Amino acid sequence: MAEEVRNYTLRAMAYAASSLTLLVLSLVLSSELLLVGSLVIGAIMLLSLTTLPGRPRVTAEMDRTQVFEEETVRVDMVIDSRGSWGNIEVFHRLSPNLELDKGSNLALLPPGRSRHSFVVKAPLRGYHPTGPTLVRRWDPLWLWYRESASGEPQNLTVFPAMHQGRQGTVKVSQNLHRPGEMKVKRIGSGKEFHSIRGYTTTDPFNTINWKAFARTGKLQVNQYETETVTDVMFFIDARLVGRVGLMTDNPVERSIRLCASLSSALLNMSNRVGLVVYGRSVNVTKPKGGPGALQSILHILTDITPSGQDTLGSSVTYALSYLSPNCPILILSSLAEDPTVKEAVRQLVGRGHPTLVVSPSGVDFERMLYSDVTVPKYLLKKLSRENLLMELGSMGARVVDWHPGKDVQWALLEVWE
Amino acid sequence: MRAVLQKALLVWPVLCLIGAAFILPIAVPEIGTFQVFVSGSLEGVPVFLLSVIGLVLGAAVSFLRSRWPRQTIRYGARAFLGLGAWLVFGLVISLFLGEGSYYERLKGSVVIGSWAIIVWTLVCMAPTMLGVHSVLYRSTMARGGTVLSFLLLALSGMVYAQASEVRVAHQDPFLSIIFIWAVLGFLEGINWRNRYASMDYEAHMSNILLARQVGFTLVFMGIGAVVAVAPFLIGDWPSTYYESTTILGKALVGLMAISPLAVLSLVRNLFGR
Repeated sequence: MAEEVRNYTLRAMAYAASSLTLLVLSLVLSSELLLVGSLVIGAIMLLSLTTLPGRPRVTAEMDRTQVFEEETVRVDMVIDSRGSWGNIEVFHRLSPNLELDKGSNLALLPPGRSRHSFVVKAPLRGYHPTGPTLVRRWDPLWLWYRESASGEPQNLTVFPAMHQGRQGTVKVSQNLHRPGEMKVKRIGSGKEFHSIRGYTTTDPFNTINWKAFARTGKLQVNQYETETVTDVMFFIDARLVGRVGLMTDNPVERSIRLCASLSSALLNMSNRVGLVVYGRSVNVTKPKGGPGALQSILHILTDITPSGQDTLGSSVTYALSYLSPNCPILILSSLAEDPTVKEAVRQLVGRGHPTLVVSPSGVDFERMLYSDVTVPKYLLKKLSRENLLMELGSMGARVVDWHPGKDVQWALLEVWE
Repeated sequence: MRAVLQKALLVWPVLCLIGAAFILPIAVPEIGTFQVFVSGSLEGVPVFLLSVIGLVLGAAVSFLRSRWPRQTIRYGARAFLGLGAWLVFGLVISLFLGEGSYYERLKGSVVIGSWAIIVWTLVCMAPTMLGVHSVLYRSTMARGGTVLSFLLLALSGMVYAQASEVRVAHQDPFLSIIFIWAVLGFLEGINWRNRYASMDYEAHMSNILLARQVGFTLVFMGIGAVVAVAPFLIGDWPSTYYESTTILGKALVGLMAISPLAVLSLVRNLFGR
């Protein structure tokens, strides 16, 4: 059991000091009344110090451990302590990145068995620690307490918010020509058998399963697994410079949310999705498809922390060997303070990769944060950024300039064909 | 219901002091004996009546201050400056123009004597006057003034009667108990207010906790009073250890009465679960 720390309030100190002062004054002044006063205060304080509830058992459980941004989690606590004197105070520690939606993570309770619940909102992706619960046993007059920690810290996984958007195909997509097909467990026009279903008039005759027909007396047709068509590679800019703006809304967070939404849609359409995250270092995740791929990608996106200053150029050079021939590339970056952008995009386009650059405007995020006053410095930066985007467009890449005023839905509409 | 309770919690600390300022002069007449030192006799307006006048004046001051906030403060400050100037004037006059030793000059000065009577009258009125003002006008300065004037008034009654005599004079412990209860009621009331009045928490649970804390406070104050008065009721038994008629003897007996609690507290604190 964890060790308890004891502490006394200022009020307890004041009572003790008053009692002693009155005692000394009563002796000096030979005053019975001051002696009575001293004894009354002393007795009350000592009475309160001797009474304390038993050490409580506290359990705290979350109804979910994995949520998406802006979703809520309910935390239920059960507090069980012996005795009837004194008070119990419980405080469930929460990550500063979590917000209280309903109730409070601090509860003052009488001893005995009681329940306490509160709801937490998760506005920001990440692995947020919750707990342990700090428990204080107070005396009846709240003069002193013993404090200990109960339970183990848990992680609340908050995935980036995903937006449905309009379904379609990515504008840059094109079919992949590879030596062998890749099977995914979905119905399609492949060669591998998937299941049997009843015949409809539009089914070709060569799909009829004659053995099944002989067995059941009804026409049955075979269904086959589909084969994937496209690998899509995302380049996500996770440099510190991309954090300009609010904690919950900045170029990095926008890029991550768009990437999560697009990945989900692409994987649903039997594509494979890979990630290159650059910032403090370059991390490459090879293209994955099928069940489990989305979960894996979401975990990688959740774990991103904006830091470092690696460039797009270095990440492209590093990731070239992982790129499938002619696979579409989506670059999600504010493009700020990166002199290698043009060279990197030229390299990708030159190697035959259809390239789409979605660029949340860091300059405008910064302007929205500090003031709406237009200063020459902003105009120069804005002009420089527009020139860069225009230049990237002229190289053969498709460019989407993402203003902070437009949401992820808008970006999805721009990306889908 | 919750709103009423919150308002009650807000005014309770000061109400304790105002109530005690009324009860003390009635229950313990010793409270006004300090007037003998101020004016030489106990004649004049009784302390209880001054408390009632203070009550009315407090309401009047609150009304004036809500109507003319700046002017009331300005004239109030000038009145206090005038009192200070009066004292300086009295000191200069009596010390330079009086006869006899310096103490005799001060004691015989009519100017200083009249100043002392005014100040004593203000101190007697202040607990109720400033208390009512702090409740009606929500003035924290007035609340502080209430505490200070109540302490002055009560301690003057508790200390002067004893200090003016050479021997250990028997005094009614009721005075001390009411004084301590009022001060504890004020301090605990501040704690209740801070903890429950603005508590963003379930009202039901808050009420339960408040009721428990109030209950425990009342029980502890009762037990504390019994423990404190016990040495005065025992009689001659402790005189075999020490003379119970001396203050030191009473203190020893009192400490003996409180020692079981002290030992229990020490054990619970050092070896408690």
